[in-house]
Amino acid sequence: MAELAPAFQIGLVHYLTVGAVLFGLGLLTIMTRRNAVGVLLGVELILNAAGLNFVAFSYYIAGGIAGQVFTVFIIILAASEAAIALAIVLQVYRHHRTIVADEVSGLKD
Amino acid sequence: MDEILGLLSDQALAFFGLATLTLASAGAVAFSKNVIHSTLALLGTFVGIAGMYVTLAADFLGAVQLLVYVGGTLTLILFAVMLTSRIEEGKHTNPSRGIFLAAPLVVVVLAILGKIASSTEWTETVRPQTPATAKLGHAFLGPYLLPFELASVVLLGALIGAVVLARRAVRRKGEFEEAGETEETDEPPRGLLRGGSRGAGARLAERSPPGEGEPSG
Repeated sequence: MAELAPAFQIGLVHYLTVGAVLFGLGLLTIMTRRNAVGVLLGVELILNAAGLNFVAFSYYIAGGIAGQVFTVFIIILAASEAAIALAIVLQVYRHHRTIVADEVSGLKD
Repeated sequence: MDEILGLLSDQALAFFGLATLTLASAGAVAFSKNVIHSTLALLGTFVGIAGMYVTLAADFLGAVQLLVYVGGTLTLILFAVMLTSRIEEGKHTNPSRGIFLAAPLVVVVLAILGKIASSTEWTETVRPQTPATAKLGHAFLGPYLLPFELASVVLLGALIGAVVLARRAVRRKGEFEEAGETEETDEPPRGLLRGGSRGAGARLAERSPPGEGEPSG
């Protein structure tokens, strides 16, 4: 199997590469965006990269179901994080009329 | 053998297609100048990741990814974008800054990750693609019962917290519209809880002569 088509055998490293690039793009988004919603998009990218890595390790290395269980938890936490963070973003917008993170500098009023 | 070769190339084809979709969409999320385009590009990333879950024998996770992320989270983010961005004012709604500082840092992080991943001896085993939903259900009601219940509590807390935060915002907006032009001014709004009573007091003071509205001893 491996000697027939070594170049086209999809293995763990391919999925890890996708996960790493996705993580890097998410990191770049978080560091460069000034729009708060843009930063949240970067967080979503990073959480997806983590989930992909969990499932890939679970399939190729660990076996069993534990990796998928943890990915379900990641999805749960991502959903609650998005809900809370977007509610906070809405509140910030009501207060400051902007969600550009550089211009929101006051902690109270 | 031809069958196996065909199967492998199919898998490779699916993988590279999904990887292209995922990474191109993620690039659009990271670099698009319009926040709506960024948000909609996130759809491609989520769908690509869901497809990769399916190729990794996680069919239930693929469905959950589509339902929760595409149906829930993405819609939520789109709502937030529509409510907060002044889209009609200009196309440059998603500014970014510091790319020349951030890019080298990201490259360094990726280099460290790549070095670790390539220097580790992974003992890969090729497993058959078996359905995972039943196993996942047994895992959740067996060894992972406590985290599962805690996750439901977390979801409930997040639900209530989001409702409380967002509801307050909507109520304040209604009061501002009722109070006239207060919403249009650039004056920063006052505290959350005091805003309503102060606005009502100000209106009352406008209508009535001084000394009459306030209960004075």
